[in-house]
Amino acid sequence: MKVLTRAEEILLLSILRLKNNAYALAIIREVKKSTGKELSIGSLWVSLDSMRKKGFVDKRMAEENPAKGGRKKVYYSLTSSGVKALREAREFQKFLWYGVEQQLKKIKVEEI
Amino acid sequence: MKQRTPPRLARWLWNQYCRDEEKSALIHDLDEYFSEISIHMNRMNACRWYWKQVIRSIFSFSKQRVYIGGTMLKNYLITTLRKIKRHKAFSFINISGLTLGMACCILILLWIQDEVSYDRFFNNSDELYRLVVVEQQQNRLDMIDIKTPWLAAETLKESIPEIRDAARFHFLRNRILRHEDCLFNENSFGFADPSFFNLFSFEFIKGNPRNALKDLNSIVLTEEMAEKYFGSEDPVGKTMTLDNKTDLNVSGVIKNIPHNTHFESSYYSFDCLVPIPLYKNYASGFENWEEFRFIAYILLEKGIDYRKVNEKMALVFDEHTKSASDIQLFLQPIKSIRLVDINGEPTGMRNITMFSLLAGLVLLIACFNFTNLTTARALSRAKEIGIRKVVGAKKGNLIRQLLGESLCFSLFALILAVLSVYLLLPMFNKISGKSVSFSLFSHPSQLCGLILITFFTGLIAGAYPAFFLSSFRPQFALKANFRAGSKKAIMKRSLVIIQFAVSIFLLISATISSRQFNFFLKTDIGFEKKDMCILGIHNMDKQRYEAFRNEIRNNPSIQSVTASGMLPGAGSFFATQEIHWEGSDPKQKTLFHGHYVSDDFFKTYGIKILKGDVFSKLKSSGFSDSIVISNSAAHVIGFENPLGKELLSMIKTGQ
Repeated sequence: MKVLTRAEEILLLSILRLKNNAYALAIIREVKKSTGKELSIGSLWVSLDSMRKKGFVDKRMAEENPAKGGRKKVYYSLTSSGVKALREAREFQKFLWYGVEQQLKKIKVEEI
Repeated sequence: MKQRTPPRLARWLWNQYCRDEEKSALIHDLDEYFSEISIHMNRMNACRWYWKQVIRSIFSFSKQRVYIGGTMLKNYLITTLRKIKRHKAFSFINISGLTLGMACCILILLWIQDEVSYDRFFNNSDELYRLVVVEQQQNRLDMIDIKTPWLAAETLKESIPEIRDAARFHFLRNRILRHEDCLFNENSFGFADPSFFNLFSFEFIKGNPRNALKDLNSIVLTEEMAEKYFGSEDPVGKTMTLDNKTDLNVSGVIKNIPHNTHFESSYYSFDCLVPIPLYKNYASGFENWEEFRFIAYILLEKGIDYRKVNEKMALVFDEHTKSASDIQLFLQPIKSIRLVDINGEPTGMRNITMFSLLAGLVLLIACFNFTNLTTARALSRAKEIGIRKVVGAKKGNLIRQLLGESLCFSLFALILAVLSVYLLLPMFNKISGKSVSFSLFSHPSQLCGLILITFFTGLIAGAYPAFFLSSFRPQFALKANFRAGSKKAIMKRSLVIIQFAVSIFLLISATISSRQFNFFLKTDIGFEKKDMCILGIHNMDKQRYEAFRNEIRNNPSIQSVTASGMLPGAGSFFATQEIHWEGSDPKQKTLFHGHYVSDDFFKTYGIKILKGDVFSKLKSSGFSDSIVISNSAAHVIGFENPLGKELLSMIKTGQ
């Protein structure tokens, strides 16, 4: 099974959260909010592009309301295989963590 | 609040990178982001933020691009390899041509690199000068000697503030150096002032350069010498004896003198160095301004124009010599000793220019050869080009592919050329008398040179075929009886003509120079060189010589033995203008060169005697008071029959 990388997971989740408003800048803000790291626009573009090639995301060009001086934006959205990959990732995570959570809590950090 | 604008240069750069339609939205994204962020920052920080964004973005874009470039290169490599496999003869001729050209070019460049590297590695190379003696001849200077008076270096240092330091140097041949049972005749024995190592930053393996020569009984050895006398022992502090008289303490060991210094020029190299006052054991009466005997080096302060110092030196020199002669002292930059003469004319540079031209020509021939062969095969490739075009390749793509192919060829050729250079280098060093080293990784300049050569060759050789092939029209190229137009033939023919002309030119030059060299080796120079052995000895008086001679004459394989003050052809033992004869004009002086020789000299060397009986006369006169003159000397003097005439000088009796 091919597992999503953590970076891919974070990006996909951000797109999912943003729903219809997932354009580059919004994604960067979202990622910053959740991880505290600031991506550069270029690296975001590159990783989204590679995910597009894998078929996880789709992108479309759209114009904001031109009357408001709007401009072209590139919006990203999840494809069905992207959604599937996220679900799998979540299942996989649950599976990984199954039964160890309680155990983890019991161990005091100082003991190690 | 007024909206901030992003830094212009960064934005322009960003624009360059977001040319295509997909990325064009990114420009505005970044602008928006910037205006949002910059509210909370001052201008400086906002700009820095913007720059950081742009650079990081570009970095991640280009990472992607490099990846794509890599796959393209891989594709070229595969197709080219396939082509090489399929057309073996063609590829063999092509690559071997390029290899030969490149190997030649690399060897010549190595030679040039070595030639221009002379005397450049001392820490003070820029401020180091050699003191030479020149004579003013109208507009130019004539270098008379590199040897200067004993007092010159010291006096100049004291009287001219621009001179930071100075050192004298002298050398003697044939000194006997002994350590316990280890005794050798040393052929390059140097004498120097203690300050010598302040000027020349020779690398010390052991000992301290500052006081290596301070002690009057110290000696500094090269690594090679240290090993010769002491093996693996530590030589420092050990005692050596010079000429069975002077005891010396080893005070330091320096690395072997690199070959690319003027010290290594055969006649004043040194393997060991002692303080110069020891020279007084060998000569006297030289501590004045009249004897020109010592090589002197001067270190100037940084940023001083040496020509101004030359003017000052002239004053000091005139004051001490109290003469109004045209002879002057002159500073010669160390770095230019090898290639530039004292008038600033690049005499040695001529060779370098010539050889670089040669390197270029050879490489160009190889390129033309490649071009011709590739265009000649155009016919067989026309179909391929046609198909590619039909399928949708643009002209640019094809050009790139074809150029890439020729670059691949030149890369293969480079690898082979580098290998052959490694193989040929020992022979090359033997012929050129150098010890050039070739290692790809320790000299970054050599590596850069190789990469440049490869690209140059690949582009020059591949340019014409690339444009020519890619301009085929598919509808013609795919026809059965396609022929390349006649226009192209002109280009091809002219390339062939140039190629042949250059090769013939080079062949003729090579023949001429080799014949010249043969002539030089084989001409009858008046004495026998074959089967001669030479033994350099010193401190030999008559009794010792005769004993030695009688001893070795017993050896049946030795035909004849003789001794002379100098070897014939290796300069003269004395040169004098003070030879007078009956009827000679006292004003007109002629310079005569002379040798002192022992009996059997003429027999041993096989020199023909035109008149007189040298052997009996020499013997009867007890080997003194007689002189043998050459035919040309007799001519100058004007004797019809020179036998028995008198020459007035320290020598008498013409023979």
